[in-house]
Amino acid sequence: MLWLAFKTLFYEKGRLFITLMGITFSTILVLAQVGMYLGMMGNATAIIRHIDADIWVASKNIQNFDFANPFPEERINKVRAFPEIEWTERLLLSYGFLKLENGGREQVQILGYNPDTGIGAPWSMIAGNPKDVKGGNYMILDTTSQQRLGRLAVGSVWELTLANPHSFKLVGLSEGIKSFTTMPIVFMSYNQLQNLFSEFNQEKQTFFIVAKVKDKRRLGHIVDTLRATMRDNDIFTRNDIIYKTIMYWTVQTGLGMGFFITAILGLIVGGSIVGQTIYANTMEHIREFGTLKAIGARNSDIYKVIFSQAGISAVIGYIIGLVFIILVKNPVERAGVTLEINSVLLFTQRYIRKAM
Amino acid sequence: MDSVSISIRGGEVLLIMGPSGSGKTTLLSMMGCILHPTKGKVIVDGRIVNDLSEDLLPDIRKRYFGFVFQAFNLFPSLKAVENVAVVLRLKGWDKSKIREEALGLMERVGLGKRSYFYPKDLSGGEKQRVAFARALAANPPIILADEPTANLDSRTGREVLELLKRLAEDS
Repeated sequence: MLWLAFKTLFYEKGRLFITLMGITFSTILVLAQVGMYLGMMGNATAIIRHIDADIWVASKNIQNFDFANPFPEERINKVRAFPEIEWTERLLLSYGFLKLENGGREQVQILGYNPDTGIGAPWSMIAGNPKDVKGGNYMILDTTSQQRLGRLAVGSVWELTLANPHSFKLVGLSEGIKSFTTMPIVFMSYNQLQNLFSEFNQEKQTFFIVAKVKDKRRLGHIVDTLRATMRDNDIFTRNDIIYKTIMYWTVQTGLGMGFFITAILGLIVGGSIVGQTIYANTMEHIREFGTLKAIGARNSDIYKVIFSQAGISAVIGYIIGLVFIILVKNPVERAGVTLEINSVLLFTQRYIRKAM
Repeated sequence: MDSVSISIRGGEVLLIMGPSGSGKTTLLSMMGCILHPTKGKVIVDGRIVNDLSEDLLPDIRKRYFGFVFQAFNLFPSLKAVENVAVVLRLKGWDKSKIREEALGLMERVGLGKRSYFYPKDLSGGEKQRVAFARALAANPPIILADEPTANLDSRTGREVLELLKRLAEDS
């Protein structure tokens, strides 16, 4: 009966075109919303996900990764004291302003990492090396910042202001590293950022202590012990801090609801079109279905024809929508919006494999 | 419909006549197991079929009946030969034989050269011939034709009735 469903569907090309337009529009709407949401959440957690740490120690009651507060860095010793810890490292996270060529200023997020260990360093370098930030006023920027900062040339000197303006030389470029807010990220050495912090009288402060455990089976025990002993800090596993960050942006800011409502609207539009297709096809071909029944078709055969047509329309519309999204992904991302569709593609691929 | 009793034997061509609204279509629908009589029996090949469940009736229809409708009821999205093939597909014929059989039936009703035309490109008489070819698919013992000439001009109507008579004699 799939044969009859195909023939009938493709015979009425005008109706099929309108149906596919509607489903494609709906698919694009849903995929764009889901893609943008996943992209934003991916950006919000990118640094956490790219640091191979099992434990994150942060200031008490942080809302998410981006809004941490400083705490004494000597507390790293409490983490190091565990024999089950393989390594520990400190990270600084701050905000400042870069002066632009035209005299304007752009707010930036600044991440201070230890260039010797490379923990917290940019992970996709296209020019320079993460170690190059060592020993002076050196920084690495991401090429995605060009839209906001202008041309980024390795060797160029920029004025960066936290408390006071300082000149920083651009020694490297990474690719594809964005913050949730699309604020440009400046990578520099931990010591250099700490020097800038001293201008706020916040010496020997850090924002995160990250640690890797030797045996992951001991992770729960170590985290519990740290929570008991470091009561002035929040102790997270890697997944905990990712979850907290995502939930903050999704739930507490209401952003998730906005995406969710638009995605649901898209689904409703798509569902209505498929429903309308089923209804109109059934009503218009009621005589043919009656004929089918008279010549020996079962009710189930007729249902197969009706629902196959809806299914075929939905699948074709989805594929067209998906191809459109894939085609516009790069131009959209060049405009500064991250469109994460890998998980959608993976889901589609798995579904096709399962269906086959 | 009241007090109707009809017996049809093999090879017989039976004409049911009556004024509009007298129940000719209803009678044919009951005989063809499409409608259930509220009283009485429909016996096909010695078997009472009117109290069979809806699950079993499609098999009875496929095995015993071919239908020809007043308005032809061809599938507009299918070519003439594909309209014939629908029945064979429903009857579970082997795909390799369906095409050959359907084309043979189109030849039998004199439309071999128009097998690949869509219904919209056929005349009323040709459409009804395709409907007959479809009704004959897989050689059912009973053809139920509900006013098969009603939508045709008198000359084409006569040709269709001649065809029906010839088909009955052939079988």
